[in-house]
Amino acid sequence: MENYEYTEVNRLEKPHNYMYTPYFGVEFVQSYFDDRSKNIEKFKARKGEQNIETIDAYFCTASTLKLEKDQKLLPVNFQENVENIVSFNLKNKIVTEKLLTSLLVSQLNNENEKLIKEWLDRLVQRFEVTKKIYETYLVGFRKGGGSTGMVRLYWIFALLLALYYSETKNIKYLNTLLKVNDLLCSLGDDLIRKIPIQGLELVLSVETEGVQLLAKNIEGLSFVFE
Amino acid sequence: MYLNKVAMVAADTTRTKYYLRELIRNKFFPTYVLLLLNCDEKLLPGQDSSESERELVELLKNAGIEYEISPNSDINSNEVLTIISNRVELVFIFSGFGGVLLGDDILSIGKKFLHIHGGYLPDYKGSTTNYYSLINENTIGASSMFLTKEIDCGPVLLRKKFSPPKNRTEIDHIYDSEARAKVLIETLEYYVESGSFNFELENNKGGETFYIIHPVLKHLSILQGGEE
Repeated sequence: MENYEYTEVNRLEKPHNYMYTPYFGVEFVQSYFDDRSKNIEKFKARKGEQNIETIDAYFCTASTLKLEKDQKLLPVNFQENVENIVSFNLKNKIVTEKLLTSLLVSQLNNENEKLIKEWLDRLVQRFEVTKKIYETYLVGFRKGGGSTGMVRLYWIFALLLALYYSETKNIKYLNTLLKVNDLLCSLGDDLIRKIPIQGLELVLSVETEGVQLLAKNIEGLSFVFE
Repeated sequence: MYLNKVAMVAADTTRTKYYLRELIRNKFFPTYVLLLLNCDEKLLPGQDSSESERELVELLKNAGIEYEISPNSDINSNEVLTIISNRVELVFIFSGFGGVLLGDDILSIGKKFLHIHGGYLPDYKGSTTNYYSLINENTIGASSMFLTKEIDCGPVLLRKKFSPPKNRTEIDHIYDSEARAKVLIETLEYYVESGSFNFELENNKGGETFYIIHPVLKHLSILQGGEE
């Protein structure tokens, strides 16, 4: 069976460009499922070792509820500190953490659908071109600045993609989610310490369910994934 | 028959080979071809062997088409820009290395670059879109357009959908190129018939922009065809 090479090395340090990837047959898809299983187990084993920020715990719970189509969001008292998505403008420098948080809150509240897609598409474009999420983006949202190693930003981006894919079933977003999750799975324990484990499980489960859904349409094929 | 004021700028890729073969077979000869060759040992995106240079030159020589080897492989270099600027042809069929975009400078020299996009526009903009359309609707597509600064947003001359190929493992180097070559020939047929380039879809706005397909989705797209 072919190894799933896309998580084999730290993809923050050695990004994969995914160009002209070879075809290895059905075994490759099974190797993907095996790799994801292995990583989910690895993350689960670390449960309880973490001290998670309140806002991240909220994002995990609220996203799970949204994915389960349960509209009863938990009351929160920090939403007033989150900038409204309408306040972000291409004419200004963008602090990525603020943008991602704002987008996530808008998504969870089912607000500003058009703006969510516009900003998500810009983030997808930037990530697909550079395979990085920058700490900031300069005016025009083309050139990134600051650190590219803020792992939490990659996780929130994955969560946004997971929610958006789940809502729209547009495989464009599943495609980018696969790449961001490859990157997250490729990182060592020390780097993912600040990401809630249930949050990682969540983005991986939306992704694997999406792949399973597509695989279901293929006659005569079945994959083992637990 | 020589195409009126239509030249070609082409990298040594499998796609160029398909284009040239079809152009010659249909007797649509560009008045001039500028070949961009990869001088490195490492293959560039769009190449499946380093033999394509020899094959392309042979095709051009045998057909009696005027050609020139570019001083470098970079379509955006000053040298290439000067060569193209100095040509009398107004339209250049463009077949570059994978992932290479035309910069503002070359798009501003007063020439039109006829590009065949591998996907049905405006629905499928961006890269590797035929894998996406196979998953979504079990078709592949190709669209001819003049390049503009905004990627895949130029006015569309002709667009077509095709049935899925029998062997989906050969999409990258065979079927995608084949679909594009068919649309190129049909576009030129209309041009020769009418004497001008007419647009099927002048306002090529909207649609979705896709990015290089992840190998898992690529595999599903191939496996969906029952091929292995």
